[in-house]
Amino acid sequence: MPSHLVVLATVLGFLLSPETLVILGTGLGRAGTAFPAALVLCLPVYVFTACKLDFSQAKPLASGPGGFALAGVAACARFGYAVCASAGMLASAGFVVNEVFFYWFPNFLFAHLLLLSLFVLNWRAPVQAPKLMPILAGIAVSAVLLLIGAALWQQEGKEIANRLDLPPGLALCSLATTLFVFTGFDLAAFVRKKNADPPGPRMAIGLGIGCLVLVAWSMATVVWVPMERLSQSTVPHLLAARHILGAPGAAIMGLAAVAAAAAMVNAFFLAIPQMVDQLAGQGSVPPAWASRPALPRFLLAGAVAAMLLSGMAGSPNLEILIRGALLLWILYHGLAHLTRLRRPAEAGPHSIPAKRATSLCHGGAATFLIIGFGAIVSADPDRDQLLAVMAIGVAAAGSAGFVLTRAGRRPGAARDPGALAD
Amino acid sequence: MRGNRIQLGIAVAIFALLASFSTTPVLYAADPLRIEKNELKEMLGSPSLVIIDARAGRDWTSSEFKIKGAVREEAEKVDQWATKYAKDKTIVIYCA
Repeated sequence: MPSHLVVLATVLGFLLSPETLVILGTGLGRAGTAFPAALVLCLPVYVFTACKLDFSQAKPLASGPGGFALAGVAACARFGYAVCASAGMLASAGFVVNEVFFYWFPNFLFAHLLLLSLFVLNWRAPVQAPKLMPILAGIAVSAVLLLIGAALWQQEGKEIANRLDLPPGLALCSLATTLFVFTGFDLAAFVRKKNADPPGPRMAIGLGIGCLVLVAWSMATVVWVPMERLSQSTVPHLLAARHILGAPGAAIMGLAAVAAAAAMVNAFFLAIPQMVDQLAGQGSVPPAWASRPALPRFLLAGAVAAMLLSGMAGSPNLEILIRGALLLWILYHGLAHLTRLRRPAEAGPHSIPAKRATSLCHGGAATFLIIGFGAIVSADPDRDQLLAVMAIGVAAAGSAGFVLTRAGRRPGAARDPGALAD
Repeated sequence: MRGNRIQLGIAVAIFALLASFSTTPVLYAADPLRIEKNELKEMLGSPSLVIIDARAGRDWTSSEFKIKGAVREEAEKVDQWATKYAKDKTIVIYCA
């Protein structure tokens, strides 16, 4: 299986996951067509991020305490999102199966069976597991494209959506949530084969295709569903699919949601050994952890199963944890761009004006992402809890990294925990 | 080879155990009164019936449906809404 196809499929799976479709649908309900316009505006920032920052390399990003803090932000965002979003997406997939396909099948049993299947596949057949990515992402993309086609083709039942009058500040903050749509795409850098071509261009292509599909889906949705209903729905993508094609529409969207959820959880299982390997290469975790790829996969599966069992899927706290992890990821991207800004004069073949232009772009991207981070946090109804979760998570991850680095440092390991390089 | 099979068997057994727990209802009250779905179906439409949808988290956000006529209330704010409903009504609460 070509590595670049797996990278592309991972980005597409991420962009069409149920988490993203909910953010998109709710954003459409609140901000209307300004939301897909904001998506298009964000795209160049993320394409630049994908092309200029190689997330899977183990070069130092920063030295000293700042490096530990930054590594803490990255680890907390990635591992936190892997566990919490997996639990959320599996629970959502269970509901889709139960409510759209098989009423008699327990939703949580499906969630556990899907988790078990993907874990066993990644554990026992690690060579076969990446092959699942293009299949699952292909199903999700095809299903959404089919619905877009049906929305364009059908004429009866169309509703011209009425605009909601939101206060300008709230509408602006709703637009800032477009950052959530793209955040996390760099997980794809960890699913490729080691020493494969740099994933940046493939990730950029995936972002472009995914953005195009999401914009088309947005336009189909706003024509078919009143914005008020979109803004109030917790499953706006299923609502839109039902408006477009009725029960078959819900089944098609349900298939897309289950396939994309499975793709995402499979991507987490594929990526986690390389994420641990990177940390081990930097000396942040004992090297023995990296030599056993089954161990992080088992820990991930166990953590997700424990979250489902503890009833976290039925708790509003899960959403706070997921939002906290995504916000840390946005912050990490912003800070990563800032560190590039600090080192514009590194040796390289580029001319001075080109370096200045690149540095300017890094500065612009950092500003954009950090302002977006601030806007989302300030407008969040659970702001205090969100800030507490992020602070505790980063402190815990940074402390664990510091302790493990001191306990498990091996000769020749990198001393800095940062992880980015141009 | 045999060791691998044993590992696989243990992992499957752990997941099966976890899954079996996940399908078992968790009760927090000592003896909650329960109602079967067919019994509730027969009562639907009755003016003396109040159905409260107290689902939270993904149980609420991932679901497309609710029982016809159900009123949405947040379980954590039970003190605020408990007095809203007359005591002579039959109140059915569902949370999953």
